[in-house]
Amino acid sequence: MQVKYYSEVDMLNIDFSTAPGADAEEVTEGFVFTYDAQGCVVGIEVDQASKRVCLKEIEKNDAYVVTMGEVSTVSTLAAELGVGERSIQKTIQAMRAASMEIGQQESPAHPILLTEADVLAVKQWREKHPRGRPRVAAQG
Amino acid sequence: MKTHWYFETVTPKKHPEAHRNRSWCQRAIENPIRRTVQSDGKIQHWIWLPHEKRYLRVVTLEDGETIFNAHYDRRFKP
Repeated sequence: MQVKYYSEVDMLNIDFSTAPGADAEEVTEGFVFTYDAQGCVVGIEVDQASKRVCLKEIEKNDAYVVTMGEVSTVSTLAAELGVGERSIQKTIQAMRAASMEIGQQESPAHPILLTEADVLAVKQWREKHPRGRPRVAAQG
Repeated sequence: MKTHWYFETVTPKKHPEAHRNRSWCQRAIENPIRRTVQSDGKIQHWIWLPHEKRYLRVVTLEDGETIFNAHYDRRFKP
């Protein structure tokens, strides 16, 4: 069994199995049960856990508490910078091609997660390596 | 489509179908059969998936567009 409390988003996850969920339901407000293909409960997610569960014992144990810090995805960074997701993806590809370690990705099929440091590095790279046609200064 | 890190890291393990089929989530946000605001400000949206014969529940942040979590919801009654 695995217990994880994502403190930044106040989500508690209790997993009885590593099997992926085949079905789920919100059994009561904030409590989502996940079932495997045989209909057995494999996990429970509790939203706003600090209001609904006594977390004292869980919060005492560092092994249960997961802190992510400020994490961005390609989509949220693209929205912040007012550019397309493809543009951010290309920047990350260019940074990786330059041997920079940027973003975390479980596998190529998974999305890229960016820490605060990654976001800063992407912004700095984009400032130093502007894309597109250079702007011509207005004459007059 | 904007997604939260919880959706990108936890949802794939717990609710892989909902994570994989992002177009379902987008449809739920754009055209839900019910939309309610939780006490913490997050917004939940449901749609019927006829091919799956199940309801999908999509939770977004307060902005109504950043997907926080998504899963089938067999208990939902429209």
